[in-house]
Amino acid sequence: MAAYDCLEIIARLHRFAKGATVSELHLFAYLGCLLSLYKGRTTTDWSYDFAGTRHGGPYSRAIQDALDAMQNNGWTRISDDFISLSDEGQQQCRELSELSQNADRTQFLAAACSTALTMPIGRVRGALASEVDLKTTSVAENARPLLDATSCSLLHDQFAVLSEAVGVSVHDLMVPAVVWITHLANAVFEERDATSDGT
Amino acid sequence: MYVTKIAANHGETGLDALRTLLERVHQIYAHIDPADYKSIVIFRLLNDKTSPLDISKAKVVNDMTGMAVDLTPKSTIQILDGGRLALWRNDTPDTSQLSHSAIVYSFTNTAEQIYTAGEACEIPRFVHGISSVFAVPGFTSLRDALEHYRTSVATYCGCKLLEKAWSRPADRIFFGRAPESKLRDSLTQYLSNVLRGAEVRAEQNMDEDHPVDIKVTWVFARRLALIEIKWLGWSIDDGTPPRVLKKWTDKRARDGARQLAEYLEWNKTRAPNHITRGWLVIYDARRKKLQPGMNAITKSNGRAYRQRDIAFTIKYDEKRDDFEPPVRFFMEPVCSP
Repeated sequence: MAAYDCLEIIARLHRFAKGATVSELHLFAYLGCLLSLYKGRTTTDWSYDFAGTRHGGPYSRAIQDALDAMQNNGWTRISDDFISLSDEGQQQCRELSELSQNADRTQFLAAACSTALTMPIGRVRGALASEVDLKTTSVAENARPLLDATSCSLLHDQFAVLSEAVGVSVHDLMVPAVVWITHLANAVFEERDATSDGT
Repeated sequence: MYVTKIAANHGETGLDALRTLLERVHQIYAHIDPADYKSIVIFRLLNDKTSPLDISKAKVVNDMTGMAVDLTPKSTIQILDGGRLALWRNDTPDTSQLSHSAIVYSFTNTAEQIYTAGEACEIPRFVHGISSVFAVPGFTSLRDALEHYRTSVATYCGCKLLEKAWSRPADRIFFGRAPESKLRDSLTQYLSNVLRGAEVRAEQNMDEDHPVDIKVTWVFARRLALIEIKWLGWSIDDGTPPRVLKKWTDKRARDGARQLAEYLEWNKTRAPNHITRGWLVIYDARRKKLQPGMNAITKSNGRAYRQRDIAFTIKYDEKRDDFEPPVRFFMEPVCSP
């Protein structure tokens, strides 16, 4: 699963953003996982875990291992820290996308990556870092697991509010993804502007 | 928000068209700078069977690389299937009318909008100094990012945060009171948006007399950049009478270099497992023949220091392998004609 997620994220970001950096793979995989929870899946359904780092970003051992394996297999290329897919990597991505176990995940990864169509990736990263679970771990001494029972319960409350805010009934998760990340980003950057103003 | 409006107006079809449109806008802006144009309209039809514009008058291209040659100050682009684009030169359609059969993006005089079903939705500008939210460069190199900031933001004050640093943004002769936090926040926000794969944070414990720091962390590469900011020039209280608060000369920059070197030594024990580089960033607002209260400056006096680099008595970038060559942003005043 993690291998497919890496391939899909790299392929999507490469269309308009030169590819993905290592930290962005973890970031968008995590956002995809959150969107799956929004759609009623469980963390078990996602099949791998995440930890929060004190730098405010998510980390997944499964994603990192998958990326390392893909690099060893020659499925990826790296130029100036941007990861793109080799011809073989693109072929692997196409084949893996047709597996039933991955078909359901595509919608979540696609929606996660679509947030980067509407705003700079740095803004997506800043927005997600303000999400309650990640924000809590960023002030902790050590990395700690994300999406425990308490965090998931808080997320579900947020998602209930989000569903109301979205206000339209569409299956496409781009809408709630963009609405949520935009809301988080606006709060972060308004707070920064206010601090700069001294207000 | 245009995403929700498009979903409400056109459902999944509209969102598919929006995704394709936005991907192509990003790709197009990798080849052109929208600020070079008076008007760009880019659209994707909701239904390929409609033809709201006469495509026989368009030039169809398969490849974006030579696009800048084909475009005129007012251009319209249709996103076709198979990577092709149809270009209309010297033509701006009725975007509101067009948006009944297409998802339409418009860039006009630095404002961006998405049109759907006759309604225009403003696209917020997240990154000052960059003409479009879809043209934000993505840098993995801090040096490249700083150079881009220098030319697109610092030199001519292309940032609302940076405007707040000046006593009078209209002439940009003097800084206002305590510009440090504004300079720091401008650079922090910019780097946060353009640096890919890095966390950017401003340090919190500062006042006029203590260093301003930004820390950039490439988590997965175990690299750190510590940015020390110094400003040069005068800061004034523009009251009655106007009062000079600070006058910082080249010595301030030299002190900053020393402080940064000391900090790098201290940081060796704090982050021993990281490759750390120190960056001294200088916002240079030095002018010649300044007087408090002046609200006009000649080109000769305003630009006297434009090409005058700081003379560092100790070149830490040559003595240390963790000290980058200092970066200077000369900040152009608005000079009398």
